Amino acid sequence: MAKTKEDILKIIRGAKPNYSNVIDKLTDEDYPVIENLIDDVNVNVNLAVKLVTYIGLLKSEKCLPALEIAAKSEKRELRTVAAFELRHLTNFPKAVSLINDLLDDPNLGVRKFALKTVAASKLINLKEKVELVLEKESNNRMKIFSMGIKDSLDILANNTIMH
Amino acid sequence: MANGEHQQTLHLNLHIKILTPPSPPPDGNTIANMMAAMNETFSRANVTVNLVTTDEMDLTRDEFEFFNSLFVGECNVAPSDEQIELSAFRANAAITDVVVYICETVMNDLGALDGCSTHPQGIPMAVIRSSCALYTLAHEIGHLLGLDHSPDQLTHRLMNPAPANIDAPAKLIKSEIKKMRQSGLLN
Repeated sequence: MAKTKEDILKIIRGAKPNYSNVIDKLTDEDYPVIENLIDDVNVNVNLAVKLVTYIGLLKSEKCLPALEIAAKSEKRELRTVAAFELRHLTNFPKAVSLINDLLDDPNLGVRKFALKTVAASKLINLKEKVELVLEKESNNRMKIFSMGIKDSLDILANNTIMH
Repeated sequence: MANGEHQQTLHLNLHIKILTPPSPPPDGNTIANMMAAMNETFSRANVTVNLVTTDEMDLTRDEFEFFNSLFVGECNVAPSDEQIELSAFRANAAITDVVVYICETVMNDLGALDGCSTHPQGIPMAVIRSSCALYTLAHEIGHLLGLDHSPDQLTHRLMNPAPANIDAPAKLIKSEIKKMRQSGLLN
């Protein structure tokens, strides 16, 4: 039986920083409730970002709808965490598409963690997008950061061709 | 000498640097509330935290935007490059003063964190999220004073690994009191 919203929030509230104590406490049946909780106006941001982190750590395709809600949320904090957690699911085209969109986010923090996901997941197919992002980036710190990611993708792309 | 009674009161100087102001309840807690909760808990150890300065960070817009969503690496091993860079912004804080930075997002290798107290050696600092729990500030300062997470996860303990799960009033146990009073950050 699916847990109630209150049950799920209680579990998430008690999550250790590495989530090891909660990782097997929620099941497939709970995902629809989690999806509703992520952007629920009555759930504080503190818990909502933990829910997004938790759902990402499950590394399941079934979690993509919840991450999509976070990626499209009006709350910057949720989009930032979604941008980073999507790195666990980059073998699914939907996740890559969401990262592609988040690279254009108006918030620098969101773009920064979307770029980290591109680097961590070695998303060579987003290389051209990263180049476009770099071209229009107005923040000098982010330009340097984006340049580093672009260079790492260039190296990966060259190695891939050589092999 | 139970409960730290009759011991000399020790002081910790704290500076808070704001990148994003703390979210008002219910999403977060005011600095005043977090300070009051911390000093209530630390009073058991006869430790008082003095908030010396609270100010907005003197950063360029580019730096501000970049550090406001802070990546802290593994958090419990070594400070990230971003933490090391941020630690340079201490203004007039003395060497044993603690500087706490409030950022919109604090992220480690796994995901979102309430806070992180890993810091470059000799530069005591912590970062907390603007929407953190009531005891996050006290919890991170507890780490800076040498305390580890409590293994029992009892919700009345300040060093419960999940600050959002700490019930007021948070408590310290005797061994924690003894340990924190030995910290070189107290005077």
